Amino acid sequence: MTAGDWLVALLLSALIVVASVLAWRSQTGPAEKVIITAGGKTVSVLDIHRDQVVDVDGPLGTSRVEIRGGKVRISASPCSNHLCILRGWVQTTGDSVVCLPNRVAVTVVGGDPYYDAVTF
Amino acid sequence: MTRLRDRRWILLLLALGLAACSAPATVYKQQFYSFGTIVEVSVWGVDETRAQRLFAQLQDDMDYMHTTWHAWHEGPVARINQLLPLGKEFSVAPSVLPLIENSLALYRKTQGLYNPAIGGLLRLWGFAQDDPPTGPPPTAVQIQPYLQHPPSMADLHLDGIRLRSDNPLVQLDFGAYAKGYAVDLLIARIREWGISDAIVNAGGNLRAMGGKGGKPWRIGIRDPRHARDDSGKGVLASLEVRGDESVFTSGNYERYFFYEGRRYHHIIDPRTGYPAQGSISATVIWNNGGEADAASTALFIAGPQHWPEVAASLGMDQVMVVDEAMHVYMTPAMAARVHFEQQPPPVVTVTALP
Repeated sequence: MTAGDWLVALLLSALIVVASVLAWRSQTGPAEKVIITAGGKTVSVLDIHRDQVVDVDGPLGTSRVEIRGGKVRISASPCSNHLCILRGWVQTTGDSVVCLPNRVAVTVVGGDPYYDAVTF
Repeated sequence: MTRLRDRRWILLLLALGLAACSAPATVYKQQFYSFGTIVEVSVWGVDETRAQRLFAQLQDDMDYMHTTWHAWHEGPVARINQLLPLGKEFSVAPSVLPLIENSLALYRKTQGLYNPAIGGLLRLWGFAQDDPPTGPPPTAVQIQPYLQHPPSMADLHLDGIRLRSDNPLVQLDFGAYAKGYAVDLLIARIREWGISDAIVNAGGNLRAMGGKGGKPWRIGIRDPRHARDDSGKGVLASLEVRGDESVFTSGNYERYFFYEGRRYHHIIDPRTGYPAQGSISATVIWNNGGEADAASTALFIAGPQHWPEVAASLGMDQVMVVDEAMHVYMTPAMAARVHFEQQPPPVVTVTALP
């Protein structure tokens, strides 16, 4: 091989290594975003580190999603049993708060979740 | 010539680089509502367009099964329940046959603790309706007939597609099996698409196969105390799934109501007619989702004292039962797999099966 061939091979190898590292790193970050879905459709993707309150409409009425201090919860809901509110704050990637009656779900995402699924 | 062959290495490297681009090393997830709960499907190594088409089909499949197997909405099972009390033979819809047949076997293997014939009792308690029950609980007089003439799968006579019941109290409710069976069929559907890395999680009952790029799927077992009422740190233990396995949990926090300060949950003990006492959750790892579903219910009802007999009868050696004092009981095979995520870890008793 000529010196140029070696150079190309070296550059390509380096590219693959760097790309792999970047791909790996992007999958292993901490909680970053909050995905809000209504009826299974994504209605909002929000930064978990920006405190805010969002109202989401479902079949029963409006659910209120509150993001504060890197955590998220459903703070008000038109459902009757309020299990979503009782669930309280969540902050771990992969964790979620769901209001089944109003079909609103809030999921914490950001890189590779610690758990791929949770049984309960 | 030598130079040409050497260049092939460069081509190979380039091809490897391209291959890394074409197979997405990412997990696609979709949640949808079906079976009265949230169903979450995760797939790995599938491009996004294909994943979206798959998710749409899985939702269609799930909705169809939900309608077909529902115990009280209009459909084949509701029709069976209208005809059963008449005591005459009738034809059942073929789509319901596997549920009846598999349930007959599971009823025997769980020594009657998984009993889908107590649909009438569940209705009495208000757990067979769309709205969450508010009480009051049924009276002893109302429950009495179910103890005097206990409806069971042994009352059913199935001959081909012809079904008859000896006991007019038999009402079928596959609530402790259908979701698990549906998860099995979704996993089978995913396989048909040539996909071998996926999780189907139907309201906290899941089946997982493969992994993500050689890494196994990691599953959390939520702390039964914090399943519904606490912050995000509510994971009791974690485990990694190998190959193709189902992880199913039955807990007394899933559905319940308060009446006059007392809590009544939805897992009814067919022997007493009342919510089963002793356990707060039962988790089982098993290959088949439907069987794991029924087993977790039966093991919950068996309770902290008697679950090993039922587990042995089922041939299931990966079981965990948590009692009301947060004492954890496990088989040796389960203990070898779970990793407790809490400090201090709970008190654990490891029990070998009889």
